[in-house]
Amino acid sequence: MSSYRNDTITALATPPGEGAIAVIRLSGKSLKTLLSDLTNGKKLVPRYATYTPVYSHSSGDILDNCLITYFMAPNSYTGEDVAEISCHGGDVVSKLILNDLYSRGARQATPGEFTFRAFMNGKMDLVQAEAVSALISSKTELGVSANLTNLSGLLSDNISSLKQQALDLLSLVEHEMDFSEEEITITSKGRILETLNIVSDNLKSSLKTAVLGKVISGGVRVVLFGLPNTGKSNLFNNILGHERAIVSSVPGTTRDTIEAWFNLDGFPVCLIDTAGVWETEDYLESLGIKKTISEIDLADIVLFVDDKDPVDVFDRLHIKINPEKVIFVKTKEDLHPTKLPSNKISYTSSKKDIGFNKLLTSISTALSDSFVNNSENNPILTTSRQRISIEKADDLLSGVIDLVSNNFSIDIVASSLRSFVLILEEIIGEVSSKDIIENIFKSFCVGK
Amino acid sequence: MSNSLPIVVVGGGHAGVEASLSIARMGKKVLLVTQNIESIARASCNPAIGGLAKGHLVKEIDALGGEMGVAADVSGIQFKMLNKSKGRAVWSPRAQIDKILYSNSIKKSIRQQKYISVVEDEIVDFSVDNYRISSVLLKSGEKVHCSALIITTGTFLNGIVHIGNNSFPAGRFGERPSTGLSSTFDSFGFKIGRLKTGTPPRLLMDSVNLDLCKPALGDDTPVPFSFRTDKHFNPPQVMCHLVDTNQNVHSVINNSIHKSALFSGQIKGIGPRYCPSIEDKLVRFADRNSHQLFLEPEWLGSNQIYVNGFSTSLPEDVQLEALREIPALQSVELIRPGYAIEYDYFFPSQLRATLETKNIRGLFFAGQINGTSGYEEAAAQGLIAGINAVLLVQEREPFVLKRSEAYIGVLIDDLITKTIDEPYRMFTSRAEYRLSLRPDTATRRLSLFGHRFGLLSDKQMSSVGSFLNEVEKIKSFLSTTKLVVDEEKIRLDNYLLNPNNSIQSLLSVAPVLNEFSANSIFTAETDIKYKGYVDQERRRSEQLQNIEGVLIPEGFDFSLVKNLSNESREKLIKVCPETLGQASRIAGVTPSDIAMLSIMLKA
Repeated sequence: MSSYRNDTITALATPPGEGAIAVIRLSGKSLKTLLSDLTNGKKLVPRYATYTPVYSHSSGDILDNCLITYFMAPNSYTGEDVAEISCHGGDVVSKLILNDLYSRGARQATPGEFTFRAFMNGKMDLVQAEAVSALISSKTELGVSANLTNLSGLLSDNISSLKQQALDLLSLVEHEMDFSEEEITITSKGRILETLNIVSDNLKSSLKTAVLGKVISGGVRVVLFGLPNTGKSNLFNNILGHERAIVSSVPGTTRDTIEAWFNLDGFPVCLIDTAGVWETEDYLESLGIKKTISEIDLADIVLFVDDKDPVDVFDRLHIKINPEKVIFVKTKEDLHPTKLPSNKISYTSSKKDIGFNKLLTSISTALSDSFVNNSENNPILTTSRQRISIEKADDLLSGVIDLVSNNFSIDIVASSLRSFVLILEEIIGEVSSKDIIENIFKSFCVGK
Repeated sequence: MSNSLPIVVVGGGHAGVEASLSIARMGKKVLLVTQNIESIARASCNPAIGGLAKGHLVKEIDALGGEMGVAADVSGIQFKMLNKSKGRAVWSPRAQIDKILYSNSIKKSIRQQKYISVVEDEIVDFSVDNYRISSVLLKSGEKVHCSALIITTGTFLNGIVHIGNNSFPAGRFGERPSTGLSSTFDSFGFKIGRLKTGTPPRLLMDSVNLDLCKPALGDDTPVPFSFRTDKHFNPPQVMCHLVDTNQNVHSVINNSIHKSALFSGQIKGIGPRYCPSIEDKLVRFADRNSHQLFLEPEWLGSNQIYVNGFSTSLPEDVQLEALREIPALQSVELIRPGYAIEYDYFFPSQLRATLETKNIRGLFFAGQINGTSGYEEAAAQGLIAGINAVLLVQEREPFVLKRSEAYIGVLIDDLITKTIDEPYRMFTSRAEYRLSLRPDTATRRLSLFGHRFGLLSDKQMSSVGSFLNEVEKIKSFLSTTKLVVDEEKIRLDNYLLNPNNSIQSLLSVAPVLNEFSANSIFTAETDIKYKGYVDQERRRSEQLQNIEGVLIPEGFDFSLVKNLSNESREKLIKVCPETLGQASRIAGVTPSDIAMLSIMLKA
């Protein structure tokens, strides 16, 4: 993404593979000639879908019957001329058309190049561009909605208004520094602190939503954990079996854990089975146990599994886990039906298929309790860049407040306040260092 | 271009004299063309040098080997450090000066320079050979071949003085304007605008009742501007006076405000927002019942008083009537009324950072003609233009101060990148590196340059060196010594981080500190106290720096960058910035535009 040109680029906008239709996207300074040649002069009205055959550049044969939607610059996604060609699905047809477009002078788009052009043409700011990236990789509806909120500019607006308050204060302080004591009255320390505290409160509530943002874009990690042969693997399969929307099921990073994604009431959940770890002969010394322990550290929820008394076994293991993260699961209810004293236990039976809905509900409740506290409908900070920047902004602001409280001179206060304003500007892309821009667009897939 | 031809400097004001002296000190011949030798280095407005942010400029001019600080120290009659309650980065030295002594001191320096010839004349035209300045034509008819030309005509270009509804052409009160050059500029396609500034009336000292004034005193321990000024600095520290305007004064002015040239529509030029006329102040700060006026003597023993704060273009009788409503001025007499002056200025976006025009090699503009206001701003530009004219003639690298190095760098960068539509005044808030651009660090930042160009002697440089050595010694002592202070054992530099602590309170526990000069102690202590914040300031600015040095090739065609907004494309074409950093500071050019340009330039 090192240079911006406005030559014609194209890419498949739908995922490769079988499907009813495939969409090919084109963008360039002018597509008029290309489209006219491609369709043998069919008239394309901007923003209308036109059904038309598409002809081969070399032979003049019909490649496919397509639906072409043409967007005329600047009223398009990229701000240039854009066309979306819906052709029949499958790899063959779309590849034929793409190759044909290459022969007509279009070039394969690089990852993120469409959005990059949109950004370069002022169609969106950085936060919006990031939201596009996050939207595409959103794993659940909640994620989609958070990113749509950002796409509509709410986060930018929120940070902008905080920046404005800080900037107003900075201007006042700067102004007072440029006039001698005789000429003007100086704003009191109390007034300055009052404004800073208001900004600080707002920033802190933005930061809270960052936690939710992390969950939405990164997912929550639910780890199955327990002694060998207590039914963890069955539980793993049963949970996934109950949740139809399995996103993927791939082997974990080590041979010893297995991960699968599923959607639980809008939360993207990564379920991790530590099965196998405990089956080693000398498990305390195995590498596997270390992996398991680190999984537990990273986990948002730990399902501690036992077929007799999970609470009792857990206590005896003396493993350091924040008890609030733990949900106890008593398995094999068909073999050992019990009634244990703790009410924090879910009872399940794989054989009889009982207890799983209840278990899922308690996981979901636990997630909501710890992550969703977003009643004001604050924009959610979905990318780590935003989150880290806001944390940094929060630190800086606390620093400024300390300086004022401890009677540091106003030139020093102003300088620190300026740093704070700058970082807010960075978050909303009003100040752009090239690194930030290139990083954002690097994470895109082709076709966006 | 023959190296032996002189550099011509037009105008003998604050810019012209700094330019001439720096050229001569660098060993080049100068022809200084002025209408009147007598008025060289005249302070045509207030009898003071320095002040907020302007004091910083004087310290920098001095550190580079300029003349202004030395002359102010010789002629100062009351020194005061302003802004002392707001942190040492914005402390600003200011001095009331004796205008006659000031001008004489500089005239003497000029007379002593064998490389400077002064001629009482005017420039009416100049010739250009292959885009390079080749000669000037004097009003007397003489043609002078030159290697470079520096224009510092201040407010004289097509100047018109306004007093009430009376107006007449003048360069300054009682002096002719220069009119010939404007059409020459026109013929080269240079863009010229109109600005306005003003000056208050001068009062007869004998007619003021000083008993009814408040005293305005200088500092107990006056500090000179120049590091070259003798350690036993002992200026007279005379008392000045202070009066307040009142409701009666305001109603006299308000009743006649339609007669002010400013409000009658007679003046088209835009005036300085920061140094408003009294009628401007009454309109803009209508809720204030009173404004302070400083009564400043124009020279020692002078019978002529400058009324600081009462700049005006009201008719003379209204000025008098209004002032007489102030008890101390009940029977005051005017020596000269206040007036406003409108003049041509050269859009400074047509200049490079060296103050040379982009179109014509060897043609420089400096001072008020570039749209600035103030002696200090003018002098700083004169110095930079002078140095660069010599460097150009000698085919050496140009000298450009960065925004991170000096207020002078900020001043010039602002001039060439920002739209100047009112007289530009220096402010500390314009400097994003304010904490590291303290007045007390001017020599540390700049004297090496001055010495390299031959503006500072070896001896002067070695005195800078011993000062800087002392500062380092103190700092290293403080950072390696732990002592019990206030019942706690603490490393001394850490002790100083508390805003309430000072080296002064360490003198008893660490008497070795008594050996150092007060200046060194001050700078060392401030360095320690500011270090963390200076570092933060640097880091912040470094993030932006990676675009700062990216050069935009000369003649780069901004119209080819299709995706810029029309507004910023127009601005970029108009200004033709030399670097991406300059481009980023042009009003209306957004970070998106810069991102785009940076990517374009890389491609």
